[in-house]
Amino acid sequence: MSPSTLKKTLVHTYMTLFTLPIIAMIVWYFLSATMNFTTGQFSLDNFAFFQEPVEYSGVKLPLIWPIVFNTIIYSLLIVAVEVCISVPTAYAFSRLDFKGKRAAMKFLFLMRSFPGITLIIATFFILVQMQLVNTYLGVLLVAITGSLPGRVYIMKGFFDDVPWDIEWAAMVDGCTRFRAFKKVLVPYVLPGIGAIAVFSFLGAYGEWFLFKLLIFNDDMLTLAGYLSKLITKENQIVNYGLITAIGLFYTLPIVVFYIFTQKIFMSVNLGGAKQV
Amino acid sequence: MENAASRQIYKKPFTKKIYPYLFIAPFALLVFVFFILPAIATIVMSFTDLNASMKPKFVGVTNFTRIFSDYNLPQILWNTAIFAVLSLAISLLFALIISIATQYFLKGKLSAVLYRVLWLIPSIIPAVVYVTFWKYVFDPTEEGFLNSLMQQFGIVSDPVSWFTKGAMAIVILATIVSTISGGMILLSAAINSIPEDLYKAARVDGASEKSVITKIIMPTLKWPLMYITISELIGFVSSYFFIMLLTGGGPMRDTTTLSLYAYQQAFNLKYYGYGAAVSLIVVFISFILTLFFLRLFDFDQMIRPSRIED
Amino acid sequence: MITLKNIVKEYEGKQEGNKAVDGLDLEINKGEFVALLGPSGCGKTTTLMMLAGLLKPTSGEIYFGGRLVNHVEPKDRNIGMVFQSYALYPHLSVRDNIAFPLRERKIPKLEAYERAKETSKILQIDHLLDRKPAQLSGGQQQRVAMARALSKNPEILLLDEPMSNLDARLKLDVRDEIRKIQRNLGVTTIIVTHDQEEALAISDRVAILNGGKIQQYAPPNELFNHPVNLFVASFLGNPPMNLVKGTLEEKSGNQVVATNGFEYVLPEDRRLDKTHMGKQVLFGIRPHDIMICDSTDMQAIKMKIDLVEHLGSGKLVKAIDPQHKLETMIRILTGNEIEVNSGDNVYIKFKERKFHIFDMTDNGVNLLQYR
Repeated sequence: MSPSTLKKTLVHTYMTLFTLPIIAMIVWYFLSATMNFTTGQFSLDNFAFFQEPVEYSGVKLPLIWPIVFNTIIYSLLIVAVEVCISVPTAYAFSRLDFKGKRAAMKFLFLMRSFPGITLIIATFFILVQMQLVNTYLGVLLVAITGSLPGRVYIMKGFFDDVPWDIEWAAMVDGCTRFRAFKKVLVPYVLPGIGAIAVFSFLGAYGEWFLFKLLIFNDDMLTLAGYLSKLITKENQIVNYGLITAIGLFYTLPIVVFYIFTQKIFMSVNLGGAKQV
Repeated sequence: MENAASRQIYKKPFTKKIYPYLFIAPFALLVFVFFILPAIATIVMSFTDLNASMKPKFVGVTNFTRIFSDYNLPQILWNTAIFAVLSLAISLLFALIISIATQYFLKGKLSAVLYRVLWLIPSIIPAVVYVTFWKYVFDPTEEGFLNSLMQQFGIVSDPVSWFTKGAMAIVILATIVSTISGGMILLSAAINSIPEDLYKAARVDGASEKSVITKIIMPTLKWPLMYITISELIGFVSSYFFIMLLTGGGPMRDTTTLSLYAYQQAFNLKYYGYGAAVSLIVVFISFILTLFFLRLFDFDQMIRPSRIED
Repeated sequence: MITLKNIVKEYEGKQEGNKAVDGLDLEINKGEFVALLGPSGCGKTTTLMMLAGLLKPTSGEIYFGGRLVNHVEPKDRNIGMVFQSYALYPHLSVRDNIAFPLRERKIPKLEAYERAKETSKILQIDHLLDRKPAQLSGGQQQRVAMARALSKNPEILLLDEPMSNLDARLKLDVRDEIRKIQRNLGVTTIIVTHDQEEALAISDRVAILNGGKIQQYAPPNELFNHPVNLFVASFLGNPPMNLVKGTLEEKSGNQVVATNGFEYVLPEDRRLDKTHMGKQVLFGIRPHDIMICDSTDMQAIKMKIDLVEHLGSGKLVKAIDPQHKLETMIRILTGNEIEVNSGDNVYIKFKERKFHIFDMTDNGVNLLQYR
């Protein structure tokens, strides 16, 4: 064997070894969901949750369809709110002058990297005071405050990339600044809006912690919160078949969504980073 | 033409001064209520004995003195350190190996794309689904993957209770597998930006693979490595989601980190005041790390003035 | 008519006293085509942006036909503008791009489209109306940008380096066309450019800017033949004017410029005031105002040819002083018929009354400007 083929074989061997657990994981999800392990036969028993409420080891959870409905509503709501707030904010940070911009920008940047989760205890009490515990509004507000700095930052990068010529042209052509924002800049940064919408959607879809903490009614859960209820119960015996079946049902749309939107992830840069 | 107009300095009218603030108002309001207010409240709460009875009293620094006499603390600090440092070191190492393998040795090959996509999967799969796999692998009953495997090969006769033996190792394993991809993307992008000519020149000079890696690739990765180190460290110190889903901090306190401990004190035991005090330590550590992180960025480059004067 | 009076523009955050535009006065007549020309950073673009209303002057006044417009919004100034990058709206079709200014004036869609079509015909792009800007060539994009600027019948047309992204040949065509359209429409036009050939070719008057100040504002031939100062003289012309250091002296009743290499006797009608005698000056003469001559000619100067460049239409000869006393090399433009080779010794003479004398003690003022 020549040294270069040897090298390639070596690299492939190692990479395959490293990647094996992930392949195993994927295979397991499908097998576990669709196989009856006692008989070793293909079965769709685990997908009974489509028709009846889930019940096992004393845990009773509502039927899945209202949960799916909640998930869609919640995710779309998050996307809408995050886009509607982060786009104007990013525009102001990128293209307007105001007193305190520098300080505000620094604060935004600090917030982006500072883990808001460390403040969750106090946040909980503020929600109690505002009587927003066990409401979607409470979850939504906390969730978007946590993710907005990142969205604003990404969006600002997109606004920074809009040539000034374009906005100048719009101003000369009869626009006020707001109209130029609406008619010219927003269409220009549409790919960026798409990117943050995707991020928002993925974030909202995977949110389980805030539901666990702030939502007490099981029929208000989203899929992620629903699944987290199934696996964080104290008992050691876990019904893998059921969890992986629901997990697959929950994950597949995301993987499909990801395949169609993955290009967007690559269009986001770190911006402002000191390279090397 | 009137010559009377005096030399006038341009001043922005009031409506134009207020205008930018309208754009950031909703964001500012949210940040104030759900970030600044909680930050202040955390500090205030940490000086009270707020608990399930909801009748808080000011107790001074009692909570803080209690932290330092808390018999759980040494172990929790140790857990936090072990969890953060090992997760970081191993995930960084693997991110480095995988990105060099896919972007240098297998550059442009289909297999490289395949490896990278596969590695991305753990980070795309929602956390709640992802952890079930590790629960299954290390399931303490005969059903578990490792147990059934070992029984089939006759290595052990009784199922091993993995979570009691090495809960921390399992938690770290699950954490790194899902965090590797984040670092991998950044490092791959950096390696990808190395011009092909540099490799060619090195080959002409007869450089070995080792010196290509140490002399060409590694220097390029200095900045991304710093970035990943600090940002992942912030994440590992402050978040406890995987731990919560996998072990809930147990068995006993084997996998309880400082941030999870704060959460448990507040929400499981309802010692809100004490929980706030513990979380304040996490806040402090995170804050220091964040400040380090900010130093990696060129701030002036990010703030540009408007090129239209209203 | 546009009037700029003592315009000063300071950018915030810049060092104190660092003015992009510093006390600029300019008058532009209705229907005139004026170029703002200068090196980068001279304040020409800043001036244009202030005319557009996108920047506000720190002090001074801008009048459009007697109306003070310092604080008038860009949209209310009735201007059309073409940008260097063309700045077409990428999400809109060519038709919508051209109709955009009209639609912003609340002109009904059908009428706006009709007018967009008319304008596009003038610029011969009516077959491209349904395309998106990304599907057009650079030249076509430039036309769309022109059409968009003209569709609303602006009183003033501002052109910011409109041709710098076109290739050399296309530039010539576009230049002529812009000039023709401007004449037909009679729209007051201001062009900013760093290309002197373009500025001189296209405009009625050219304002040469440097350091935020107007150096000279005059028709092209006057700028070229009667530069007010050293900056204008050396900025204009390609190859640039020859400049030789010297002193003004009075010798045996004649005024002479004494350089290290030669003494040039000023003709009678070019004599200067006695107060200038003894001053350090630069003697300037354009390459095409130097002739290769016989040794017997009046004021002939002996030079050695260092290099001959063939320009096609003529030759650029670079000559040096054989005794190496003259520090500078002299550039000479000659016709192709003159046989010269590097290494030859030749005699040169200056065409009469084509030279300039710049006073180095007074910021390079041309002492012979209006003679």
